[in-house]
Amino acid sequence: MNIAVVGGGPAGLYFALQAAGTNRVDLWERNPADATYGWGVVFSEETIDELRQVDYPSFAALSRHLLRWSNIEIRRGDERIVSTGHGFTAIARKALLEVLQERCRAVGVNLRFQEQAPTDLIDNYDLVVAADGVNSVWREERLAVWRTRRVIHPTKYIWFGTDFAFDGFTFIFEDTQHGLFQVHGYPYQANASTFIVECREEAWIAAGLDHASEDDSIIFCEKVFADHLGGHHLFSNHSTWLSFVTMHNRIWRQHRLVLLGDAAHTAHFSIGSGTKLAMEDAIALNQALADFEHLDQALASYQVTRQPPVSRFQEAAMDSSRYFSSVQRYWRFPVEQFAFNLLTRSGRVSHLDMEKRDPVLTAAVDSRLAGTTLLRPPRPASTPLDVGGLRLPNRIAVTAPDLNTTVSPGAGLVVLDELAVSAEGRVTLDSPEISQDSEKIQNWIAAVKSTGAVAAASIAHGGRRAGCLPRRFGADRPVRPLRPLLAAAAIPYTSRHATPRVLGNSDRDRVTTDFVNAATLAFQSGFEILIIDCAKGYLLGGFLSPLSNPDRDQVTFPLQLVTAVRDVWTGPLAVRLSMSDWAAGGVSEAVGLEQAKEFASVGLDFIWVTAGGTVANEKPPYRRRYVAPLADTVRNEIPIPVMVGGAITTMDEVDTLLAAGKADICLLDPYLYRAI
Amino acid sequence: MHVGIGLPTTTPGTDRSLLMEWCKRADNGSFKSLGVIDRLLYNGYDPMASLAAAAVLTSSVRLVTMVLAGPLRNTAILAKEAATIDHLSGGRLTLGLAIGARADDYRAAGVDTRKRGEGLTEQLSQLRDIWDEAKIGPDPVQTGGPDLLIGGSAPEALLRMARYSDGYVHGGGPARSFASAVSRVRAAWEDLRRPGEPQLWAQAYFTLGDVEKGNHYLADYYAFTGAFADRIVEGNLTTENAIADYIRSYREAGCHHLVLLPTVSDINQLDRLAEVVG
Repeated sequence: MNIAVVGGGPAGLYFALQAAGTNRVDLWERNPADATYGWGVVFSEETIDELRQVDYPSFAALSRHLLRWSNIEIRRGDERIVSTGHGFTAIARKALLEVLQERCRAVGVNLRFQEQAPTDLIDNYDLVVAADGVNSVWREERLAVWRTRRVIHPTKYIWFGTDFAFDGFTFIFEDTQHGLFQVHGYPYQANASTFIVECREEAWIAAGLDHASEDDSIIFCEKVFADHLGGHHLFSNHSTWLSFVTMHNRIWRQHRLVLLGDAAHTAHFSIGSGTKLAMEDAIALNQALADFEHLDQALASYQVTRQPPVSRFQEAAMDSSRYFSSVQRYWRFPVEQFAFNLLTRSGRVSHLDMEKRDPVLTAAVDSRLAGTTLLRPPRPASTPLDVGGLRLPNRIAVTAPDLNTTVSPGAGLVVLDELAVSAEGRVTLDSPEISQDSEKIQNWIAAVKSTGAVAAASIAHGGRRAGCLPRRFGADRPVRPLRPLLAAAAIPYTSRHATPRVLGNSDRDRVTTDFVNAATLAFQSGFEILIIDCAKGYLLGGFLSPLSNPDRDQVTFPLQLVTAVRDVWTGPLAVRLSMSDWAAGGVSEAVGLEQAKEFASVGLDFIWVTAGGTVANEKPPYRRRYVAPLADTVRNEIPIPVMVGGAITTMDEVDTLLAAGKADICLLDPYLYRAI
Repeated sequence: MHVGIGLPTTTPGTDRSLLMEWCKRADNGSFKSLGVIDRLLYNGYDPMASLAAAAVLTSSVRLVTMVLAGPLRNTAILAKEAATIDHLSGGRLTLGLAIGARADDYRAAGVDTRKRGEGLTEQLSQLRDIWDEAKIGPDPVQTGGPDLLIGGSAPEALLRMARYSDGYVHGGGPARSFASAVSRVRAAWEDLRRPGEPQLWAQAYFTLGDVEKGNHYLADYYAFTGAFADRIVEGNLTTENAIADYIRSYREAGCHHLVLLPTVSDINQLDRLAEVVG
């Protein structure tokens, strides 16, 4: 085959040197061979192994330039923590490119530097590889094809270098008068480090960096981080402040044109995976060309092979970026927990991993959580928690679907969920009703307490989702004939549901009385914690979203009701909130947070953070721990203790969320709870 | 984990005598289910008609559609067909539904492809009510009607699965991708507060012996997917070891029921697979 490669970065060069054995390869790079952009790049040990297997000569040449380290240092103001046991490898980008260029020449790639690739390549080559970076000209010219989606990140960053080597990966956080500034620093050769400065846009504007020159930016950053530079300077390479853009392409190939590396996808720099992913793309494309006779099949195979791992990294990078854009909220954490949270930010390192890598730091975090100085503290999940003057024996919670299910011992908190405040409020025919089932409820509470757990009632009115069949054969199946429903607006939940009657003033009074009476009954029955369900599109939750309550003020009624219950319930009190509707035009995380703040101000001991349920045609981003990021926001922005569930399936996940300060109580999937 | 086998309803050369023999041998204990696949624009038997025949020719295997493109069919008629097969089989029908990948089938059936997702949701919300009301009849033998499975792992599909069905049916591929789908399936199941756990079904193609013929059929059947047909051929299990490995990897990934679909209309395929399954 005749192959044209556009772009002489790591992706283009590494593909070219592999393909040259059996093909004629021409490579265009518009910049000179020795132009350098960026400083050092990071690889994992797995990537290095792969490079060894794919092309030994280039691996051998690269090995001479690799710098390895295992420490991650975290500096918060004057506090410093060094975490051990993390393996990384870095190389100067310049050295990487030189080695790959030399190897390309040796295997006969026709390298054409300082030349624009001809626009008619498609007509003259069997395959055109667009490896021309995130702003790929070849991709942009055919915009309609790729179904590109971009996410612009909320921080500003600038890429500097410096002429000394950090001891390992170094994260620096300095709280200035303008706001928080942070550094992602790592060494890539004996006397040089990459030094990326990042901050939120507000801080960037407050510091006047939006109209600062390159030199002004250097002077500013050198001043902020003077204590860490030790007299060394920052070096710019046409460095400018940027907003990172994560780019996804649904399609990576069109006829004879294929996207490679940054031209196909980007992932936030804070997990240092851009070059790694680009070189893995190059390996996979070459492999696919070797495996398949027809180009179309090879390119299809390349795309389906690479998209899953790339999107996993993009997901982890989004989680990491989310962390770095909201570090301020973790400022109040003890420094060990601050470090632990940073190290587990992308979801790829768990509590168990941390115990292996850095047992000392992990024990320090766990001891602090447990309020002990024991050398071997209990695991976070087994650590007691005080909630509104009540002690939970541990931080694991589970919901009981009804009064007939036996609750296995183990959880510290057992929640009787969807406990109806009235007959009309029962979500399903199986839902217990507080005024009708008092004897069964008392027996249930006694059974729960006998396991050592605390019993909580989550009182609810189903609103427009009430009156359904038990969920054995499906959820949201209204009982026929349809029962009358009550809601914030006359919009049925699905086409099978009854159109609800709008709650009038007298209904509001009656419903409030029902909830207040339920609280009294809950106390008399022996419940120790009360939760008011303001989520999932039930009666109160339905008020909180413009999708189910478009016409009027959304928060007032639920807030008044919670206040009324607060006046009669003296024990620990919580509300359950859907922090996102997972639907266009519905409650977003930002709106959910504002609502949560209003509820918290009433005087709550914790918030049960959930999401969705408001509308039937929602699009929940189901994956492991998918609600946890919302709980993190509520817990640390307000701040207030939170309980969260949602695909939390292992004790390691519980330990990780608790130790990182993202949650206070974790709800396990009831089915998996029984299995643990 | 249970292992089932497909009925050769879309492979070339199947006739009355092969189908009868296939049903008879599949029912003798080696396999726990007989599966059918669905394609309108292809020279093969109708899946529901075939299962009706299988219902009277067998007495113990489960009869499963994996999967039927639901929106191609009128819901009331589908409900009646399913209830009939459930009745004829003494309560052995598992009805797997999805939107299907084939736009040309929708055109041929005169159904708008753009609304097929909503169509399937609407259909699912009605099926159990139809069976409960018992106006259309016959009364399904299974409580609540035949078991329902849903395919697809987009958020909408998972929500549909958890809201209206009894479990998830996976489209094929390595066990790793199945396991990743299952974690999302369980998340949806928990989110909708369904009791117990979802049924987890999966499928794969196999050819033992006449590999070329099997691969040729797969390439032809999946020609509409373009370059991806090759990947399906690549995934075809063509040795006893590959089948045993595949079964083991799915068992470890937590699958409840794996159905192996034939690619050649030859009774030897069934016998040889029965030996592997044991």
